[in-house]
Amino acid sequence: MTHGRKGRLSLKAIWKTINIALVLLASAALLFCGYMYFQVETFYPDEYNARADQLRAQTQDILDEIDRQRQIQLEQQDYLSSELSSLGADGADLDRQISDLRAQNEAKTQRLEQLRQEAADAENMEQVAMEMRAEYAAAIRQLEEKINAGETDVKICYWTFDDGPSYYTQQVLDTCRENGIYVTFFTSREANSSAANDDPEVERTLLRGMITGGHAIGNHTFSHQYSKIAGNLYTKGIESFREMVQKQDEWIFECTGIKPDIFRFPGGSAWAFSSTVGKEAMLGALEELGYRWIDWSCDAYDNGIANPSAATVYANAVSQIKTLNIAMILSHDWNVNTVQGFARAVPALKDMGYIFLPLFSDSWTIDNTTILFS
Amino acid sequence: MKKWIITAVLVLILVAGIALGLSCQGRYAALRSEYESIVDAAQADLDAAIAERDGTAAPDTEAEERRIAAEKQLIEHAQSEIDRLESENKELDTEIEQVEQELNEKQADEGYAYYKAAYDSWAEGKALVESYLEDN
Repeated sequence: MTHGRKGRLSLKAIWKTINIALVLLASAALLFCGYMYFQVETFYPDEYNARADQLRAQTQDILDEIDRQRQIQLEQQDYLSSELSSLGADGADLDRQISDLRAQNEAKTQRLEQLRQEAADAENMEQVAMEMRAEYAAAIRQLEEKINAGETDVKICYWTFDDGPSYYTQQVLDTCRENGIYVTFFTSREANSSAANDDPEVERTLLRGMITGGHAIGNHTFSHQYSKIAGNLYTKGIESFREMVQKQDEWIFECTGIKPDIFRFPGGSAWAFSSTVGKEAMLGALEELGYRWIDWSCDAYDNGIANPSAATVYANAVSQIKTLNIAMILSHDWNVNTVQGFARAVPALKDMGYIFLPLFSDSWTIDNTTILFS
Repeated sequence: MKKWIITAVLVLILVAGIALGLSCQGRYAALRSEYESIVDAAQADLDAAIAERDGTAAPDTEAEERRIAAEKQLIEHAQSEIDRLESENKELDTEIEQVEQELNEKQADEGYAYYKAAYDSWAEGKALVESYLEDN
């Protein structure tokens, strides 16, 4: 340092010092500038980009993982739902099958029981049929009582055919079937000679046809020989009478398997009781043989010499029957006019409120029939 | 004069150096900040994804699995019941066939046909009479 007069620094020295300092500072500034410029120029974003990319890749992996998990969960849920739904449908289907099978089994069980009952009935068909017959008879008795008590407007016609079966008996059966009605046949093996009862097989078929048609069969004796001269019913003693009743009884049973229990005297009770055999003896014999007897209340007047036409038989029947609430009409099925008159009378009497029923031994009518027309 | 020029130049150089240096520094800082923020954003996204992954709970399928097991058991029982009913059904068919055959044999008998026809007729007649008993 150059000192000026008496030790003061000279301006020149100070200026030199300042310049030196400025040089140093400028150098430092240039170094700083150069350094910073170098920093800027050598700044490589690749590392940051790489790091950011790595982080984004990791993020994407995690997001993908999240998506996969969600997808798996959804699939699992769908599977469970589907499984449940399927099981539910299967279960409902099985329940329907069970319900159907139970219904089938119940129906089959009922069917089996029904068949067993039918088989049991078939085994005992005769007994079952006879029980039904008894019930039928009881019902008719009830209806008779109602009619007598005035509790009903219906009327009963007991149409009876004596002396058959005969050549025309099948026509009677056909008329009954066509009209849904029932009648009573007081039969006699030898009462009349015809192709029908000369051939026992034909007669047997007719007698069985009476039963299967729902009609009643009564005993009218085997011979029907009530002539006071040559007859064997009322002239040859009680044993002859009993024999004729019993023979016809056995004949009917042999053909039909059913023992008859209603009886009509050939010629009527008045004729029979006036005979030498005697009323008490004959009634005793009938009781021993298990019979109840009956006459009639109305008469078709088709017996004997008169031989009325079918129209007359019809007129006779209708005019008499309609006077009674319970009518018992006498006719003969060996007379073709009777058979035809009967066929005409049936619809007319039905229109009047009559129903046609068979006669059974416990009928009220058995004890309460008197001959009004004869 | 020359001294002043030198000084001025030095001062200029100093000022320029500082200015440029600061400018470069600022630019460097900006660059660095920009890219660091990009990295930070990516990191934040990653952290969010991780949080979402960790926060997502698996659905509880236990109840449904129990229901499925119960349904399968019911189905198994139903199937057993069906097998039993089908077996019973077949036995009934066999029995019905046997009884029908017995019945046919009995019904083929002439005696049966005769009494059956009588029964039917009497039953019909009885029904007719009963209809009149009921009507009045």
